[in-house]
Amino acid sequence: MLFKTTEIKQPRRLRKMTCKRSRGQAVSILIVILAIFVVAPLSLFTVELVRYTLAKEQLSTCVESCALAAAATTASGNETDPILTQQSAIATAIDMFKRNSLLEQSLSDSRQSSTSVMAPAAKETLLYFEFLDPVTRQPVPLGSTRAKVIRVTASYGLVPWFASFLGWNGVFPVVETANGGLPMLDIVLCFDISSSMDDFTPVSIVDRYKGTTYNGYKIIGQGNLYNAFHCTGPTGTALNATFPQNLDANDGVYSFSSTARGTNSGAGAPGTVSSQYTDVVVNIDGTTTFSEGALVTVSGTTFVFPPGNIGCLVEAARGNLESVTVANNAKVPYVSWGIQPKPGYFNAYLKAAFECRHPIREAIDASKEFFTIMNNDCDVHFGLVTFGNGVGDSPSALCSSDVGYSTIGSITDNPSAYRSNSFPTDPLSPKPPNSEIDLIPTLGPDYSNYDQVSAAVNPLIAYGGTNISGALNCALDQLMPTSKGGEGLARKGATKAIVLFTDGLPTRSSFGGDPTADARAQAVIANQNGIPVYCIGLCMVPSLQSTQTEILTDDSSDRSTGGIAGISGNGAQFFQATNLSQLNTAFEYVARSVVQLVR
Amino acid sequence: MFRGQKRFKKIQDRGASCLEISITAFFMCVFSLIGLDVALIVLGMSLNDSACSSAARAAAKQSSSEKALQAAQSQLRIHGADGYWITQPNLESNSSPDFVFNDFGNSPPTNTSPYVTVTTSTSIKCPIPIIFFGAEFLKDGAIKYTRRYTYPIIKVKFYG
Repeated sequence: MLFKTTEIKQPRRLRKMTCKRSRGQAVSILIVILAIFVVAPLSLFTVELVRYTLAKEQLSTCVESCALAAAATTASGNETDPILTQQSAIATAIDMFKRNSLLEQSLSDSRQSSTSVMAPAAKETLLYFEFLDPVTRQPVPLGSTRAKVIRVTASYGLVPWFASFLGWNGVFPVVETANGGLPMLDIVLCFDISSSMDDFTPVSIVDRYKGTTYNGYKIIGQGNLYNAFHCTGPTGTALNATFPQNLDANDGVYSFSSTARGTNSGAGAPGTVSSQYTDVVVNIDGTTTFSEGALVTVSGTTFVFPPGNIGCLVEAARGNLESVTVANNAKVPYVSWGIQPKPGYFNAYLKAAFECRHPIREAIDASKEFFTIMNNDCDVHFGLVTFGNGVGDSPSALCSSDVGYSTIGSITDNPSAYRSNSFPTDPLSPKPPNSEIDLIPTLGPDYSNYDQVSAAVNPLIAYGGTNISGALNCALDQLMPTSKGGEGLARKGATKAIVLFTDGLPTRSSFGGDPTADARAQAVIANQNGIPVYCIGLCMVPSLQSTQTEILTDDSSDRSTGGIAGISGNGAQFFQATNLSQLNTAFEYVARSVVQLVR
Repeated sequence: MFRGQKRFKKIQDRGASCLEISITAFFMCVFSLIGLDVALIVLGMSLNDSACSSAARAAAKQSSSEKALQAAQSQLRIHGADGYWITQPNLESNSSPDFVFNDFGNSPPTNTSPYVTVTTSTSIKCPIPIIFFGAEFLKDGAIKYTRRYTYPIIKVKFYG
């Protein structure tokens, strides 16, 4: 009865409790439902989101590394063929990418994709490369000379951990892109043409003397210019292998006799045999003793220089083989040599001698390759400053004739055909082929001065001292804005840089002070204007390498004792080449060091 | 219902409520702590990842191993952390394979770039230890997250 009553009519408190219990149960069930169907999926979704974000971050860094490797390879490659350079860049970039990892998984299995639409399999990474025009940012075909920016796109197939629970099926690609390349660059090359730039030319030091009927030729010394004269000075010799020779510089152990030299052409030797030299000639076969001889062809005519015949070199260099009459007047024994005098011998000798000049020949070739590679690889404007005693101040400056010979007035003393300084006027000013064309885009040879600097560097000769301060001042003047007293020839937004190439130490200054201190002062100005001075030192004499390093190094930025590269800062570096084969590498590393990620 | 029964029922209901509240509170605590864990771990990993990539990038701009190590360390100092929950990212070690500066003696093999590898790690203290993306547990309840990046050396030293 009581039970029944309770069943029918529960007391109010009991009813309230029952209601609460039901609510409590409902809340518990609700919590369980929320936990299973809302909180848990949300947590898992968050985890997946975090994984995705992390994968994206990591992939971004890996792609950046990959793009930088590609750009650095392009910049430092010695290949002037764009297609080979670009293929090498892709291969190097893939190698770099494979060294990284993503979400603790190695990327060593990554593959190159041939299409930009990539569908990577689970945990697979695909890489797509394309080359862009730096101005239009449009893709250009492989091999194009306008392909100066490399774009790398990577796609990774992310598989969510809780895919099946969350109802996600398949692979979710994580895609990242990076562009690598050289920045827009305004670069001035300061090129050393001091006398020492031909110190490693193979020469013969000769006393041309009066014989019974014909001239006689006594060989005083042979070998490369610096060693043949037994020079020991750190700045090389002021004497040159080709004209103007500055023969009376009297560097080394031998002395020159202008009296014994006499008239350069059309006359026999005036003096008897002595220990003084009258001529220095280049062994145009490249050997120490001219043992191989040479056949030189100029405009279809072949000129014979018999092996070991130094007299033939001497007379050709003096212009005494230009005709039979001149040769007879000059008492040249050409019959016994088995050669026939004819117009062009002098030019033939000179052409061959120019090819044998060291290290200036290699330096010219390396700088031309540098211009070519930079022109292929980036949006660049070139400037060229050549320096000896002074700095070139016009596009076709000529060197003065030999001191002391100007009155002799013969062929060897007339240097009018040889330029000592040459660079384009306003080297950094863009020159559009058509005034109607806007200066942007500013690419191509017509804008970059590539043609001008390449042509200007070719005929350079070695002559004079090493005026590094003057050269740096001239380069800075071009790069600095007008507000800071410069000519303001650099482009807005361009990265500015100076490359200083020298084979010696500062010996002259445009500022009248100590040449080294003045050069360092210019490096300070470069530093204040954010312009790095990359230094390439060529030093083939081992005992001098430490002295050159001290002045050009990037290890010390002390303004009074540091190196020019170190003082200029802004990422500048010093590269030292100790033999001629390393020059190209040094120039390539300059290009490499300005590589960066670009937008 | 007898008085005793009523009293027992009351106690039983109160107990049930307590249990429900306790279980709910427990789950809420667990979820909150896991949330905090996730937040800390994500923050720590992101910090370490960013520090490692900055360090590798800076090291790649140097021309010698010593300078690269120095540059990497100074980059890591920029990426600060609270020090208790997340420790400052540090170089895992100065030697291979954690730190590698390989310029191939200026003669890298074909299609290979000189490179620098930098490995950094950070320790993340979690209220509740959970396994997360390859991170390893430490004894004091913290997890250690390690990251390694390899970058191409851009400024190659060249003294022929």
